[in-house]
Amino acid sequence: MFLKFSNCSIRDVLLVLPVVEHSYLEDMGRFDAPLSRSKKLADVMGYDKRRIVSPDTCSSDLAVFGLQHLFDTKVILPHEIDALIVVTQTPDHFIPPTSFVIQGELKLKRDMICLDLVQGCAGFILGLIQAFMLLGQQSIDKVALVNVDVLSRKVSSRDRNSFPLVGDAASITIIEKGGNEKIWASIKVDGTGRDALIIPAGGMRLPSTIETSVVHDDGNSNHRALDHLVMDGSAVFNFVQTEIPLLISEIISQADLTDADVDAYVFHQPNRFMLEKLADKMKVPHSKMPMNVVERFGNNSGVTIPTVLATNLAESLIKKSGQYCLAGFGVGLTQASLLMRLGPLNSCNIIEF
Amino acid sequence: MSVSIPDLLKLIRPEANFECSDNFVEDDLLDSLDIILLVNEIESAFGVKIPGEQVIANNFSSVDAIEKLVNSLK
Repeated sequence: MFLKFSNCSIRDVLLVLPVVEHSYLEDMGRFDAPLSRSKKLADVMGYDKRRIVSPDTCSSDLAVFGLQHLFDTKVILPHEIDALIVVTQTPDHFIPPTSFVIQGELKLKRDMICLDLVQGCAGFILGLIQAFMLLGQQSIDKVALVNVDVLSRKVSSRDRNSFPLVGDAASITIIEKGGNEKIWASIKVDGTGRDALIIPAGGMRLPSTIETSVVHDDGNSNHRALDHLVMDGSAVFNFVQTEIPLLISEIISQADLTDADVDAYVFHQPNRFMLEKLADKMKVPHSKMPMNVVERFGNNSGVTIPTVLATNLAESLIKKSGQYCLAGFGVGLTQASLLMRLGPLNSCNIIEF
Repeated sequence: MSVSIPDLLKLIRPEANFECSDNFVEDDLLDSLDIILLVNEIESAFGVKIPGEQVIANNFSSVDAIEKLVNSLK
């Protein structure tokens, strides 16, 4: 599905990274995997460092910290936020929504909209699309989009294929009315593939019990319980390699642009191998597709795209405008893309929690 | 061809008994990360580039399947 927006622009991006850093090779030392295999994986996939929260840190903690920083530094004032969108797979509670927790903690105004979206690696794109739709309302001038996941708390520490790669982070993006440029969006979903990325237990379909917390070997020395995240890596890889090149060529064509018009492809960051294969298939120079987030911060799910913006592209985004193609893909299965001009931004910073 | 597919399989999973398996993936001898490591080794050893959409379990289920894939890319 194609969507088109105008009179919307991204003004600020703030990345909130947990201060605790883990090393892939040190983490892998806890498993019985040969060191030579771990080193090869680190080399091929780009695994190295990652940031994770302490076991008692919740999504709202990162979000409140980041928003308070924006208030303290006068990037935005609390009363200016007309809508707060929180995109997370790790809410503080089933009830109430995490956006309400944040609104209450920060004592934001009551005359506003608070909205939670459950989304994974396409969460930044879906959140922006929701923000653009809200900005179509006369009474909404500024939207705060929070993308946050503390997924390290839902991955088994004995799952050697997943635990050493997952990162935690939050981002806050301020979107406001203004800007003459057209914004193009494309979304496709396939719920028949929903089991490829799933936490089987903990919802109403299979409530958490003693039994769902029992850890089993999956046959490849990955030990996890039904309460933990499980990923069918091959299925997700194939989905991405098959679907995303088409998604991107379609949106560029829809906007009546060409590959040469795109200054950078800012994609979700599962690992370097997947992105290199994707870039090769799309015939995109690797220099136009940043792919170094997973090696510095881990795969922080819906926060990977703002992580690229704040780490790789901040200097350029502050100084000038460029044509960017953003894409997220994963849980759902979802694939979503945005083609839009970004910059010059008012601010694009990183803080540590 | 100085390096063989069985050599590369042994390099990835030295402890696995590939000779006794009809399907490496279904028999849990190769998981998704092993396949990626194998792709990397094959690309280095045989000077081919395996497109991302070809990195699927069926293409790595047996020595014959892997050889067929490699030969198709030469």
